[in-house]
Amino acid sequence: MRRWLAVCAAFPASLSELVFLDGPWPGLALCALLALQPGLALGALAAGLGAWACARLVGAGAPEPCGALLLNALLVGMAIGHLVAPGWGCAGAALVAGALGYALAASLRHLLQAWLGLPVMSLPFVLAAAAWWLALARWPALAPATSAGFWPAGLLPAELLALPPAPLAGFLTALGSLLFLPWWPAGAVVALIILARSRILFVCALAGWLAGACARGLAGGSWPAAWAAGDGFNAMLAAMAVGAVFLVPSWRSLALGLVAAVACALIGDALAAWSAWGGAGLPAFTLPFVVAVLAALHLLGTVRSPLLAAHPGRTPEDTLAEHWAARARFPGTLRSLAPPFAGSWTVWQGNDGPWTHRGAWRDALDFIICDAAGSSHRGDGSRLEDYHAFGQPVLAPVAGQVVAAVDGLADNPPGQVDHAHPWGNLVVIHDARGFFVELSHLACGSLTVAPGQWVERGQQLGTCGSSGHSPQPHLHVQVQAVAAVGAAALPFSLASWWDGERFQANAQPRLGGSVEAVPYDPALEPWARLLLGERLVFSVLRRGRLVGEAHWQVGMADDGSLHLDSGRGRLLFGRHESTFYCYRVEGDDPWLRLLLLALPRLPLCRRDGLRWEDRLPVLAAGRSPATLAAAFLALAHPSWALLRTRHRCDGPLRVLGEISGPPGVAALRTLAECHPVHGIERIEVGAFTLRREVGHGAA
Amino acid sequence: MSLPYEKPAITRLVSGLMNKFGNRPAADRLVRTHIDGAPIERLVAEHGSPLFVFSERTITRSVRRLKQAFAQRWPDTVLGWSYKTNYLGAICALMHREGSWAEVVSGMEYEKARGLGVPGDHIVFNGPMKPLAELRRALAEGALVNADHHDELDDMLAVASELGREVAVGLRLNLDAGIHPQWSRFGFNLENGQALAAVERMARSGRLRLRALHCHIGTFILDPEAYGRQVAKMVEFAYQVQERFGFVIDTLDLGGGFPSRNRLKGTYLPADVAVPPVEDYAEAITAALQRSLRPGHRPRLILESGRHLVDEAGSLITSVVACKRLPDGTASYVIDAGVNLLYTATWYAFNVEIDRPLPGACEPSLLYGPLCMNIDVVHERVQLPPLPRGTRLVVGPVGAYSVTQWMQFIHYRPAVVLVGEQGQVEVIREGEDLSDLTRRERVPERLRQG
Repeated sequence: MRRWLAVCAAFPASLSELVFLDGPWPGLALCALLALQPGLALGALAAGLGAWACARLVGAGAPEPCGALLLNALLVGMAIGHLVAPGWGCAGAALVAGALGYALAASLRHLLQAWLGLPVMSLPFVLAAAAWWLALARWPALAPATSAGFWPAGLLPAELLALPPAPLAGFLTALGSLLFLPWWPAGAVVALIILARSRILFVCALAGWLAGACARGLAGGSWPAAWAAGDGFNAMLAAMAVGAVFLVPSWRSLALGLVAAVACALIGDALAAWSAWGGAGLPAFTLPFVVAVLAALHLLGTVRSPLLAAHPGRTPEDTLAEHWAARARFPGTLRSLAPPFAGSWTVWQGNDGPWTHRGAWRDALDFIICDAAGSSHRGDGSRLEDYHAFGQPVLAPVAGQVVAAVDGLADNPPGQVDHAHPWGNLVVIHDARGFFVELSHLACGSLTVAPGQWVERGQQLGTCGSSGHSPQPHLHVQVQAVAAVGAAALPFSLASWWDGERFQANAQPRLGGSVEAVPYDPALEPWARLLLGERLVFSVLRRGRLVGEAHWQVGMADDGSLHLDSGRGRLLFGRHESTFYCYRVEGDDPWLRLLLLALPRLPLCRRDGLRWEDRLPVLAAGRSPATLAAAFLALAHPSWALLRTRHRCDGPLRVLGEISGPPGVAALRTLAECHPVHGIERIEVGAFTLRREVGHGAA
Repeated sequence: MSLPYEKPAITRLVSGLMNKFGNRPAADRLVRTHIDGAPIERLVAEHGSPLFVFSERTITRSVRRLKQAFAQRWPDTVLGWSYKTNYLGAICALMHREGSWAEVVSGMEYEKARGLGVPGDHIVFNGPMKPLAELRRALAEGALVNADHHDELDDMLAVASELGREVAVGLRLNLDAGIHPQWSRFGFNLENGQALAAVERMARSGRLRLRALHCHIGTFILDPEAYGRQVAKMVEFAYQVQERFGFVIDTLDLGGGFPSRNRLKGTYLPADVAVPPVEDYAEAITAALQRSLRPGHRPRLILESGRHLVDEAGSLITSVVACKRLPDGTASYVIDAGVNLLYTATWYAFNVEIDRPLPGACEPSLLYGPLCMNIDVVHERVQLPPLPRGTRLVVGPVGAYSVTQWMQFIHYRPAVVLVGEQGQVEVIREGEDLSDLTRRERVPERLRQG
């Protein structure tokens, strides 16, 4: 039963993708519009069945046809419904067209994905529809459709239909044309569906259509023809795809979208003028849109443009907020090192520093120890022993094998350097993640490790000295791709440290900033105790009154990422270094969002007064008018897209937080408590409380 | 002005140089006119004599130096301020301001720490006697309670049953770290298997979880390496416990015992020579931790230093009441503070400083207290020039144990003042009067006169 429901829900869901939306509801509304022209509905239905049958026939199995594959089949079916009069002939042709459309889409998708890394879009539809268009001219047995099938034509008085000015009517008609319904009231419904779901998408649609029409108007000289162009929807779709769907929405993406829209006008008119296409009576279908968008995506992919959205969200607003939140949340790299020392050290020379961190070595860090007055030494600093860093332990920042070790070079008196051996006494460690770490300027005779030896994180390697190119005792840290001493440096970040004000899970320290390693504390492990298959049951209370129950199960996705699945949505969580993260919530589950708000991240580390900050997409606070408005305004400035969270430990198993948002979004207080055995047991966010019900939640 | 009368005496002539062991020449005299900028005379004029004076600057300096010594070697080091060393409210508050936890050994001290705003989970509760009610409170409030003997384990089990949950506790060990005499009266012996048997008992109970090991190897330890040996043994035991019973030790409490720069009686060398710098202790301890701990296991370190942090910060100003020459010719003085205030005189040979430069040759002198008791000797042999009556002496260091072990005996206990970082003088304990003695006394009606 559930399976058939999924098969049926795939129809409207894939239809939603026609206007870059997701979920069954926009698609259902579009289905209702199809009923205006029964032939279209029949064609779509038959084609959908054909696609499903084809998938069965070739043994494609799970997943059932959905998404772009099904959408292409449905579009071909609608084209058949548009061309052939309703009846058995139409249904049979659409059934075959759906099956072939599905097969073509599956092949093309693979080719485009594997060879070019591009989405298939509606290219299969264009090819299949063009083929049917040409072939049907020779198949008179399939009676051509007439306008008689469009039953609402007479429902609305002509004065009303003539009411909108030409540009508005043109825009709405173009929207309706997406469903083979070039009738502005139908387009108005589509416009409302888009507007209800995403303001950004709507703005892109409108701007794109205007750009296409204006290009035609200016170049062609005929404005009425420009407003009424039959393939105006191409410009609209291209602006939506480039401006808001595949790129992170911004003014730059919108500008690119408009360029793509203008390109659509060009391609559309070129096709119309081409004897093999327009000359053969073929309409442009969505070919201009497909060509323009694929070209744009290919270009952006080739130059590795940062504009491309890494994880397109449900709506452009989600993409936008998630993108900026991810940028703010994860400033670190995957080359994460533990601070190579204990206690608080200071960055003396940062990345791209003024002295030696230049060129190939720009990504290195130098550390010293400063006292309260900011000085690196006692007295006048004329002796090495005066320097706070001198003789302090240097610890392994990664686990790995020592591949090079130099000892025995004398420590320079302060103010002098050893040009002959710039790297001084050093250790190079190979990290199995695929890089090497070099620690330089260690004290003469202090090394406690030898090449070939395996070291664990935190193990002492030696002590800080002043050998090599070192005018005062300091520690040089760099990550490199090869084992050679002094090879070019790669970017890296430090994990689990205190910057003097807050905990940093994985970030690069700033020049002059302090770095103090915060040790991992196994006593906090219950927080992260979420076993695969485990079921968690929570009572949901609103101001103390029971309003529901939340059932979550720990699961693993195909890519290995872990999530809590409630059936309505998923919360992705995981660990990196010593921090537990709730990454994001997919789907539509308000209770999972509470967990994200209460624990966006949690250091499993020990330090008195531990506090930390995080950023969450503004839509994590729910889809209220205020958050939706903020997500839209994020087009202008990313700060609108973000919630700022400040959390702190109040005892080992209790976390308190404050969440503030952009203007208009209410601030929230959060609390999370953990049971030493069962794990997370209480979540409070604003007026809501999730209370763990232990006992009937066992897996 | 006439010079004070000085009885003729023959003294050996010595050169004015320091001897090869770093001792002061006999003719040298120590003069101290101020304590942290506060003139001695003014302190006495305002607060009377005798007077205990504490220096905030000295306390913060020694706390920060100890913390700094561990900051880069073992940052997760907690100082547990040993209350019994000096539990004057202001001194404890100062220690807590500097980030110290409280180390208490009685219900009274526990209550005092809580009263000063120390949360339960920042208290270490040691000692051979923890009455059930106090044990219950400490465990319920999350204090680290270090079990001292099997009977206490019984009590802990009872409390765990009452609380209805597993209780995490510490275990006090005694072991041979090469220090003699070996302290074996506290905790469970490591070498003879007593400690392991105690852990086995905890594990079998299912209600006690061992999370910390505690060991205090002795007091005034002058050999830093002794701590290294102690740490190595404790860590080895921790892994033995982990492998056999699954308890993960997250805290190593090394007790106290760091010396102050005081001079024990019978020590030939002065403190400057005999007492190693605290950095040596930090190095010995953390090097042993690095050697013996497994990768990734970074337990919290607790140090219960008391004497080391506060001793030098305390001075006692006292006044010469009378000058006497004993029958054997020894110079002696009666001063207004005796062993009633300086119980510590039993084992320390204090520094004695005079409040003004005085003429005359120094000679070995005896300092007697004001008690009408033969035992009341503050110093048996101190080189002093002839002291006129009324001379103020500054006796130190007396910051540790004096104001906790002092007794109200024959005389009232004097005021205690704190000289702040800015030189301000604040009374942190008022001098006593008769009402302090009689407040809790009850004279039955039938015995009252008139």
